[in-house]
Amino acid sequence: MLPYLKKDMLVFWRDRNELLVVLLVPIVLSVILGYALSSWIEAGPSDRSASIALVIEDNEEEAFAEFRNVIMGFDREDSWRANVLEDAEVYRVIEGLRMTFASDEVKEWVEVAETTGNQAVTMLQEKEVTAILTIPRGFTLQALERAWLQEGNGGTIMISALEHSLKLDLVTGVVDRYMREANVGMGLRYVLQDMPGQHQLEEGMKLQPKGGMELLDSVKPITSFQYFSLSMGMIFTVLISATIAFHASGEKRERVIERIRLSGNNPFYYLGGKFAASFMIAFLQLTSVLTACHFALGLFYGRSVAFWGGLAIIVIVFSFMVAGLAVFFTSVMFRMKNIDAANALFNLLLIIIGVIGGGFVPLYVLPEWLRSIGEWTPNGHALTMALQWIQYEDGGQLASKLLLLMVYAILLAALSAWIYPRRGRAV
Amino acid sequence: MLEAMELRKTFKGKTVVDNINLYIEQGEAVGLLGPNGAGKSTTISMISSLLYPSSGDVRLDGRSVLKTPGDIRRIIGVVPQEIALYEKLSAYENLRFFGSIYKLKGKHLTDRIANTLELVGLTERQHELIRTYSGGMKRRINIAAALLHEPKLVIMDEPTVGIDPQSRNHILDTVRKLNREKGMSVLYTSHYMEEVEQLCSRVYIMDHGRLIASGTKEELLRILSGEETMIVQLSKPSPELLMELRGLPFVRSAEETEDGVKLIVTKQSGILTEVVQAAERHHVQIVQIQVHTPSLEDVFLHLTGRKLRD
Ligand SMILES: Nc1ncnc2c1ncn2[C@@H]1O[C@H](COP(=O)(O)OP(=O)(O)OP(=O)(O)O)[C@@H](O)[C@H]1O
Ligand SMILES: [Mg+2]
Repeated sequence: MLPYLKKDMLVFWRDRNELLVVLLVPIVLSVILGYALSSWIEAGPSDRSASIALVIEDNEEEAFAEFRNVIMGFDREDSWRANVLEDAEVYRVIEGLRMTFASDEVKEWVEVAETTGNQAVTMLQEKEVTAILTIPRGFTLQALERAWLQEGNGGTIMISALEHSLKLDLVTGVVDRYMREANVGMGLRYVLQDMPGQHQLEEGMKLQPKGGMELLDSVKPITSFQYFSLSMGMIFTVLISATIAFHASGEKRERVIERIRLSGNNPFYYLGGKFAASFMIAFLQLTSVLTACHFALGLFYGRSVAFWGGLAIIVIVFSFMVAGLAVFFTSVMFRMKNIDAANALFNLLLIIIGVIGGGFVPLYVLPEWLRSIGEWTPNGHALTMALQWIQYEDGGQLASKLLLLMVYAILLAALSAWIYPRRGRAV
Repeated sequence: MLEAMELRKTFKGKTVVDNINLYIEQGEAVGLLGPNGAGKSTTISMISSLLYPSSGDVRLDGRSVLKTPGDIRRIIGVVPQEIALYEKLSAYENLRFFGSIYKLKGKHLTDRIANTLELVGLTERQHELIRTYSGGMKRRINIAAALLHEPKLVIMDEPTVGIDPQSRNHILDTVRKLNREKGMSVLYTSHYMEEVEQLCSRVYIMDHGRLIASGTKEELLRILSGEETMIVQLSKPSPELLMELRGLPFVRSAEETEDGVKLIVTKQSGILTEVVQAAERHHVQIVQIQVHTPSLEDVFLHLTGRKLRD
């Protein structure tokens, strides 16, 4: 198999000018689109369908009364007490959150319904809302204590949802940003669960992670540069599969394939060489694009080693998928009479799955039905997976998604081996 | 050594190879001759296991190899009609790849590459890309690639088509060397009669998918032993004269040439007089007449009524 791999790599290398273009274009596009369309990614979807249920279990007036008692209980000079109470009076976090959601730029696409815990759960289950935002009892007091007395961990806002989604991320982003601006005394608890039980929500703050539930302290929003570096990097890497099939069609057209058949080698050496070459080229390509974008645009500064490890695994499995696609196309091409039609078909197919997989435009600008197909395309699936990894660094979720991508790769490779013109018989 | 029996190939109901029987002995050089579209390449593809015949059999030392293509693939080297090389790789890289898929390795592989490059006379330019080669040079590497694994039988499909005389002579010399010095069997396809006459001890002639004659050069010439070729140079072309000549009882075939006519005639006395008289009747002067025994080209013309190259 090694001679085949070497040969395919060499053929690719001879086109290194082309290779350079394929490498530079996604980087340049990431920069341009990252700047030009940053509002698309960061300001959220233009359809106003994101809606949340706001459950306020806390009572601000009671909290302030309680806080006054606490302050009065301190053995400090009166001027200090007066100052703290005066400052704290304007620190109305719940009101502040309400105002944030009422602000022009947010209310344009997030609809907020204030309601009770039970009602909210029903709405979530009926999919009327994307998420439930809960301000638990004691929130204000805890926030105030944290801010002025450095006591406790501060109040925690809770977001509950049935599943990860881009809308959810955007809502989370708004809350996160608000809390950063308010700066003190608050944390965000993010709860993702299959089916939130009512009692859990009513218990509010006491909610603890249980089986089947994931809990994350913070969610990092996606920047437009991250989005486009990944989507462009991936789509151009996927195109390698068509290039490999194109090279194979050259081998068919120029009859080199007949020499190869005459050697009596197992045809799977030939396919294996193509698989290995595609894998290596895809890996190098995506790694180079992401690395270049990282240094040029500061994509992932300050991220942990674990994050980078996960990203590396994503790139590796993704490259396997591209290799699977490459050998699949190659076999189909050998089965088709018209070589040009075959190549045109592959490119068309890639562009289609590229678009519906979010390769060129953010997923959420696509209609719902198309998006749900798009998330099942190998590239769309990989992109969603990578974006979620950037935001949540959730290993379990990553593993299950990687598995599916690996299944794609294996399925494509197996299919390719199956439809490749049979060995032994002189067809 | 190798035998093709009643080979037939039908593409979509059209029979392009019909009932071909041929054999090649160890060390023999055999020619397969025929005009464009005669079915030569198709026949070769079936023999070399690239194409499965519609019916018939291919046997190696008496054993059928249709179901076990590996057996025949091991001992043959095929020079395809098209240049089957990687244009983007150098000659050396091409040979290295084709050698290594025949499981040649290390020093042996390097030696074989050097050897074949020398044989085809391209050692100096081995590191240039095939894309930058002339047609003749590509043809030579195309041959070299089939020789790396030292096949017992090399099958060549029009290895000299469309190239300059120098490259052509080089290729012919190479083939002769392989056959005479190395004892390699050769199946040589061409539509150049001269090449086949020079190289091959036996010739098969194909037309419209069928074998129309076969044998040694002498045997084939004997087909026309009772005949001779008459090349008549005329002062001006005359279609009427050609018509009349064709009508004469002793003329087997008559064909217009650049400056006259070429006749194949049955040997008998008085022919010259009749030709001269016919010319006079049409007011055409005969500049010159040559009479000689027929060539293989003439045999072909006789058998098919067509020239080898149209
Ligand atoms: N795959 C195919 N499908 C249909 N017809 C074919 C196919 N391959 C060859 N033919 C037909 O079979 C006939 C013989 O073709 P072949 O290539 O064997 O001729 P050839 O003697 O090698 O001619 P040339 O001197 O031009 O190479 C031609 O009429 C050709 O059109
Ligand atoms: Mg041919």
